[in-house]
Amino acid sequence: MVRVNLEGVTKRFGNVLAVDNVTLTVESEEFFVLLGPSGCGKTTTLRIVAGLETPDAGRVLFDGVDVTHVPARKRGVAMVFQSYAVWPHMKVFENIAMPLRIRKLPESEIAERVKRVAEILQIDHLLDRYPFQLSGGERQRVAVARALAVEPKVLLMDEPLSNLDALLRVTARAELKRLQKKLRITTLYVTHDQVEAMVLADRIAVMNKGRLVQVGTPDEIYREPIHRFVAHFIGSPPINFFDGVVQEVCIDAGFARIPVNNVPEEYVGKQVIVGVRPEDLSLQPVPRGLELKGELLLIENLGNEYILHVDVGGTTLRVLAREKPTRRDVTLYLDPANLHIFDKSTELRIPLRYK
Amino acid sequence: MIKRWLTYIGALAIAVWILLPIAYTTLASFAEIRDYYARVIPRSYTLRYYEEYFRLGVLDALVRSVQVGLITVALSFIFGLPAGYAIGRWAFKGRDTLRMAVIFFRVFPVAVMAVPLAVTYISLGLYDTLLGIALAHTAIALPFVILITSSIFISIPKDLEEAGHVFGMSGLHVFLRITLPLAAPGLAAAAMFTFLISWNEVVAATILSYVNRTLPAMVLSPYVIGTGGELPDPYKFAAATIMILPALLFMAYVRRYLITMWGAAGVR
Repeated sequence: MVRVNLEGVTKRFGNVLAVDNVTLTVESEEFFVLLGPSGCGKTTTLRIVAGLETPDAGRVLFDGVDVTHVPARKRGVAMVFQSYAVWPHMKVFENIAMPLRIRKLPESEIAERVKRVAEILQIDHLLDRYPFQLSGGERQRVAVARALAVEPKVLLMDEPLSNLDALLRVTARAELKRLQKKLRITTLYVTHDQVEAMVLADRIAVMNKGRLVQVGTPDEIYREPIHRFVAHFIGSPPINFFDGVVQEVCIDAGFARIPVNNVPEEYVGKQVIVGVRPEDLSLQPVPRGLELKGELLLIENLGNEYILHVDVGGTTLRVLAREKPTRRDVTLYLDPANLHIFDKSTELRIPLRYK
Repeated sequence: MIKRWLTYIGALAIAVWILLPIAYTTLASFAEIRDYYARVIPRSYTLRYYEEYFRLGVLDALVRSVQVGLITVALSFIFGLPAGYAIGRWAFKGRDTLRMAVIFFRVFPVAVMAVPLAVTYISLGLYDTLLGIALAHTAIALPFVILITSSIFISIPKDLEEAGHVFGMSGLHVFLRITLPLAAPGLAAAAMFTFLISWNEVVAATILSYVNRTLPAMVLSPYVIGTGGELPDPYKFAAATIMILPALLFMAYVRRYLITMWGAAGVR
């Protein structure tokens, strides 16, 4: 399979800088996810890899070969579009077979390949139908089947699950993951859904405003977000933020003094943003836990869990809890080892810890 | 129930509105002149007016009209289709200005343009030729063709073409195998509309030809215009019927194809 490199890729649309100096490597056979809010440049980046856009600066390399100015049709990639882009005037069989016909494969092999991918995606009973006779989920499978049938060097997917209903999305997600691991195709996948990214990716690149913010495994991105934006974007329910000031042995957050140790001298007096994930706050005492007295404002029932909104000295914190508290005044326990601390001015992570 | 009856009544009213003039025109075209002026519904009939038109060569004119119409469709599509595609598909500088400019060509009245055009045609040797008339009709039809085809191409999702490029098709392949089949129903309608523009056009056709007249120019010029409108009405009705009939036959023939095409397009 193929390794994909982007080197300093930049793309402007008029005055808008859509992709700003993006450099990244998608390793061979890797499932690589570009994650970010809408308008962050992730789809444009994908389209540049596909050859549907030409970058204003920078290079795209497939296995070290510069393909920046190679037209899409000669790149040997396949793409699953957000709209699926299944051709409405062709039956399912023709949709999957057409790219193979263009490649001038013998008719027997075309039939063979269509049959194989149709079986993999369980659409072999639909081959004789027109796309308008299919459901959204079936159409999505046809789009994936068409992409797999060409045995692409790189598989590109642009939010392929976003038009499916919530339940189907979860099953389709697992299926995609299984397929990619089985076929070992280098995959570049674009989504704005952080759960999708966490589930599917070998590695994630978080993008914002055309720039790469962080590249790493799902665990790295989740546990060590290097920027406030990443911490904010990843995790559901979202992370809690509050302001604080670094002191010699603690961070003064107003409503609490959170212990930290080994504070370098230059950090003392620094304004910081402290992030605590809702699951790192607990109603049960934890070892070394910091006690926070608060007042319960709201309960969101998720069925198996509850999101509690708790006011602690004027700051509202979201807490993920297994059970509902019985009283309005609650005590939260915070393990200071699980804090994410960011510089207030640069919003970059500061390596402050409590060990 | 009431809503259903109202629908029927509405449909009936529209049908009467369209069919009654056609029916009366046809009937009156066979009426004896004395009878026509004496009664509302004439009782004695004749084929005289039609014989007269056939003697004057109405069949040849009909063939010429079809030829001019087909040449007009071909020319206006050759020039209009690429323009429509460009306006519909690509964002480029001055696109909206161009779109407006296309409409502005319609403000020049054909009657005013036709006389200088006739002079030019005589010097070019195009006067009284089918190609000459078709060129004038192309000029009239082109703005419509450009605007209609551009909106047809806009309605085809760009993704479908991009998928073609990604899956190995050249630009020509994408156009022939994806864009064109999807645009076909709309383009067929546009072609028919263009043909009708040419079929119905009389001013330019009359001024730019002398012997080789198209059907409307032929049936209208010698009697209606030549006699200053003094001709008895049944002659005019016969002329009108001759004009309408081919169009009706044509529509009856293509109707089922139209329904199939638009039906298929509707479920997209």
